[in-house]
Amino acid sequence: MNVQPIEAIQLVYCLGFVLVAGAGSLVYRLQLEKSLAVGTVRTFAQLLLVGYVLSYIFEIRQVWLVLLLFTWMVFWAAHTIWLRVRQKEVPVFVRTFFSMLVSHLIVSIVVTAVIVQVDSWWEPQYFIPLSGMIMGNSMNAISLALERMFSDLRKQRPQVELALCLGGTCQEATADVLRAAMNAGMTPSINALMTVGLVALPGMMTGQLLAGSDPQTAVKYQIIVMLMLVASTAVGTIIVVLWVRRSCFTRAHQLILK
Amino acid sequence: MKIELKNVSLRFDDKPDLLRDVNLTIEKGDFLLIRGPSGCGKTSLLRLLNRLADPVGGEILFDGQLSEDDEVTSLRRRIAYVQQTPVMLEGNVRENLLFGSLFRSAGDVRPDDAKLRNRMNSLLLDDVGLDDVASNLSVGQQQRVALIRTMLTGPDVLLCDEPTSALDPDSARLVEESIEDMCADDSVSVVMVTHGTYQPEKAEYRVFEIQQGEGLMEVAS
Repeated sequence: MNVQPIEAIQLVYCLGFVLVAGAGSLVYRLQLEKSLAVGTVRTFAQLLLVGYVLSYIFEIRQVWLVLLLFTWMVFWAAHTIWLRVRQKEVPVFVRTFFSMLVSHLIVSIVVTAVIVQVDSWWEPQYFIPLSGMIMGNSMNAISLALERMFSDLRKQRPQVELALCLGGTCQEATADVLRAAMNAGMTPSINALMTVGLVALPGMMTGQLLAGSDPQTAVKYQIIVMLMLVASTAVGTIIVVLWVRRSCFTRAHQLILK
Repeated sequence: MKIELKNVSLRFDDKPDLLRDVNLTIEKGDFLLIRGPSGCGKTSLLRLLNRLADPVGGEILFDGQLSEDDEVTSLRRRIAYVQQTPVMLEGNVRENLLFGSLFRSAGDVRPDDAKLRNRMNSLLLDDVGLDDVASNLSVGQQQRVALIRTMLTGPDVLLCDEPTSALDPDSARLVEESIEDMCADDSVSVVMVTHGTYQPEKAEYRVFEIQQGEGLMEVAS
């Protein structure tokens, strides 16, 4: 593959893009300069750091290290979800973390071992970027689903409590709420199937093309990725929503969300 | 069913006690009226009785025993609660009336249209069709539909939170008579929260007053 190398000075040129955005912020007094500066520094620091870490992991090729990185990624994904949907009464983090850990590990292994058929399912070059995409997409899907569920449970409290009063379990009382939450989480990845390739070329495919891959190969990988994301967001969303929904109620089926 | 509240207290978060040391025994066929100012804990007391909430202190015994968490759904069918603001679900009147029969705890019991019609006529809902959209009914009609929906669960105890607050005097009297009949004829215990001066005519009754942060006090009926 013929990849055009990028030197440090070329990255410095990129700062010009940030200056353009900063100028826009100054002219219209958006007060985004500080966020822009911090974001730029973090982008450089985080990606350079991750580049070194990945180089190291690709070089020593140890399954435990790959799984450790995977767990680390799940931790931060669950943490981000927790920050977005934090509820005083309901423990979200632990349930989200374990749900994502198990469901995404299974989907990632199926993709590398069964679909792509890499020699070792944990081959870092494949396992890490693919599971990273799963994580990023699922994080958004699960956040959307949980936000929707908490909001609907509050809004529809009278309907939920009516069902409880008439002898319904918390599962029966929230069947509609649950469906709406799962729908909210799964819809974006399904919508993405409709527009992929029409509106924009997806990130992974673009990356492969830039790295010199044959477009046909890039397209096949992108198809795998798109379908993988539909499955992983569905599985992740369903498990997390089911598990967190139960924690919104006491053992005596009393709604504890205020 | 006999319900006993022993030194029951209730509070929310760090707020002061809403109810404190409430002692009350509800025997089969009792008719209790609960009065008191707004926000004093009348509705919360009803929620405790059918375990939509649990007390922070004291205990509630149902037929002499604490209720198990995994039996709470059948308990709630036996101690039915009519909410103050009637909740109508999407769909027609029939679907609303049969909502309680959708749950596992209901078993296979599903009243037919004739029984539903009969119940509706007895509460002056003759001009309301089973296929009418429930949310289009007036508040007074919705309140009566909500009452029938609860009665269809065949409860031993009926908890009513101001069930006639949105009704004209004639409709209100019909609803009150219907509840009194359940008590007098079927020995259903009734606990009714009320602001007004309502006095049941067909059933023996006791009146309790509740003050915020305090217990229940029986007053002369």
